[in-house]
Amino acid sequence: MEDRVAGGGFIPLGTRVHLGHAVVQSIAHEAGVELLHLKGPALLPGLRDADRISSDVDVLVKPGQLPSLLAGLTSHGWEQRSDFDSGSAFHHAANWFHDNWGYVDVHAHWPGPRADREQVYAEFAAGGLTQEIAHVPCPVPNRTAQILILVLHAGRSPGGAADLPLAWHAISDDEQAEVRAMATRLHAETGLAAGLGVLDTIVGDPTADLWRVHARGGTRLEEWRARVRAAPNRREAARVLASAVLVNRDHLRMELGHPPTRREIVVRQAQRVRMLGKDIFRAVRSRATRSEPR
Amino acid sequence: MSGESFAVADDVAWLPGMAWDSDTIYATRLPDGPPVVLPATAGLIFVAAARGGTLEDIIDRVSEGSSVEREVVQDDVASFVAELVSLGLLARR
Repeated sequence: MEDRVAGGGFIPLGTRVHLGHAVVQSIAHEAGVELLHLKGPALLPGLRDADRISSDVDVLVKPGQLPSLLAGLTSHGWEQRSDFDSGSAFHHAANWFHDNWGYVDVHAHWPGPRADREQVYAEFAAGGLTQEIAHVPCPVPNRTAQILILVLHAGRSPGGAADLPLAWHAISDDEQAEVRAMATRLHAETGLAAGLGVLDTIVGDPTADLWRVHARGGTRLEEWRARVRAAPNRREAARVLASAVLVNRDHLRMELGHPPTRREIVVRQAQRVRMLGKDIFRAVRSRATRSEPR
Repeated sequence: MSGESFAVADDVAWLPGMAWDSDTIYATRLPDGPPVVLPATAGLIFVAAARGGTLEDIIDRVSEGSSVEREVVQDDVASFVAELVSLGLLARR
């Protein structure tokens, strides 16, 4: 629960996340960047289980302002640990780290809405709400958007479902209707369905399998198939296929705790090819078994 | 310092610890830190100062909060308030 900070001493993780939000807000303000603080201490009262401790800071940056924030983080001693391509299948966030403040996930967009990013940000930011975090006013999404964000998160993260008893099941029918209406306006029906565990009601959306793999789990092969299917064009599909085989250096660095050496990359590359081969073998064998006449 | 007022500096973030260390205050200057840990009496003095007011006000609050005679705590409080000012966590108004 505690983490050593630069200069010695310990600071509890949950406390560090609060201070991290305040620090990132200060950097954003200095850089003239608009952003929204998401989840954890940024949640409005009633949407957050007080005993639940966040492990990192999440922020959503206003479209077009990402380079200024990243420059600000760099100039204040933050290090990039993963980029938007390597961070996740949804290519939505880059992960940054600071010795004192821990991790921040910088979101260029929030997975789920397929409406244009400016429209999504404007809907989330409507109302101009702020939440004091460590006595610093931090802009946060409006309540309807906060609920939608939590449900969408639950749709792609098994641990995210822990937010739903408060964020979905405890809210009124009217409020649920407002969230559904926002999801419809932002074309986020598939993500909403994934979060609510009713993904089978979605028909004809090529991204549905990707949500299914994240919501229910699946083999690496199933995930990569889903990622290819969800790719918006052939070029992106080809890029996804290439990254299925290549080692993700950012993830390897986080796993090892240091920048990987050439040898470590080669070893991991061989493991990755072997594992992918096994997945393919299993899939072929399973298909062959299913098609054998009884 | 007598007669001057004190308040948390504008560029400071701070909060008390969680349930198991709620008598500790964690504070930092923004955006570069470093984080400062203020346990027990140090935290009590910071919180007393965070409400704003003169050194006399702060001494009164610490005396009340710690149930220790005013005369006993006043020098230590004055000295620690000066240290918080030098760290940039408190500002004179």
